[in-house]
Amino acid sequence: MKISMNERDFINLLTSIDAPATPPEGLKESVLKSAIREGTSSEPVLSGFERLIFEKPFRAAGLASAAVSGALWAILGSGFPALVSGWIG
Amino acid sequence: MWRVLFRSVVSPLRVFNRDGGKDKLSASITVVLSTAVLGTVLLPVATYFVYRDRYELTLDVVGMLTAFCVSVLTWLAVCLLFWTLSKAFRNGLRFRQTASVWGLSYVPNFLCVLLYGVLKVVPGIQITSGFAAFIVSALFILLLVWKAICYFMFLRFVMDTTLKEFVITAAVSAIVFAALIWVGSLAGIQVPML
Repeated sequence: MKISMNERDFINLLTSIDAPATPPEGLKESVLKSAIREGTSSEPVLSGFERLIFEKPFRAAGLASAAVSGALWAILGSGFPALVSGWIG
Repeated sequence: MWRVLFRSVVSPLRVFNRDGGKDKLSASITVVLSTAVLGTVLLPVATYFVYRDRYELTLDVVGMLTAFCVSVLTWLAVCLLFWTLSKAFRNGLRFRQTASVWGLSYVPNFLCVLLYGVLKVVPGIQITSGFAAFIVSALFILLLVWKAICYFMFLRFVMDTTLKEFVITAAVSAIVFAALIWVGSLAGIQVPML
């Protein structure tokens, strides 16, 4: 297949290919900002202790509860449930 | 909405943040209202119908509605407290964000009211001693610790407090919480809802 093109169009085409692509003003900054925001908001930086507690709070609460209840049971014996039921009402 | 509720239990870090959304606010309101209805309406009604033959009981509808309103108002009061403190710290937290996240911390409250209701309403369950009493007591402590973790998550990831702001918030909220628990007990709320 033969494509006809005059000389002016051919020069324009070559010029447009060689010209560096320039994004609209502010586009780079907005893309960078959104990438940073996404990266920091979804995954906060946590210490090891915070990771243990905040990633699975139910599990952490279960472990803490078992430890506290066991200790109170060992110290107070049957007085422990009485203490909790009195506290709950 | 259900996805937000599921995440608030399984992976709360994905919801205890400032990212907004209608789903989050509606999930928050749903949890708070469910807890309030369960504790102030369903529980007294169930108690009345179970024990009305055994004891002389009356259904105090006005009292129930008052307790329900106080439950919802205490939630709003705590949201207002956190929002005001955040304004004072210039953290840029909006009231909608506060209400959207703090309501999600009512999941342990809901389970606590449910456990309390089962123990109170179901006939024949008188757990006062033995290993079963130990398990029930441990469950109450678990829910209390879970709520405390939600509170600290709120301060850390939503209010984004510094150590000084954290100490101030903890001190002020301790006083306000105590006052609201007292007001709630006057209104007949048996399990504190904050």
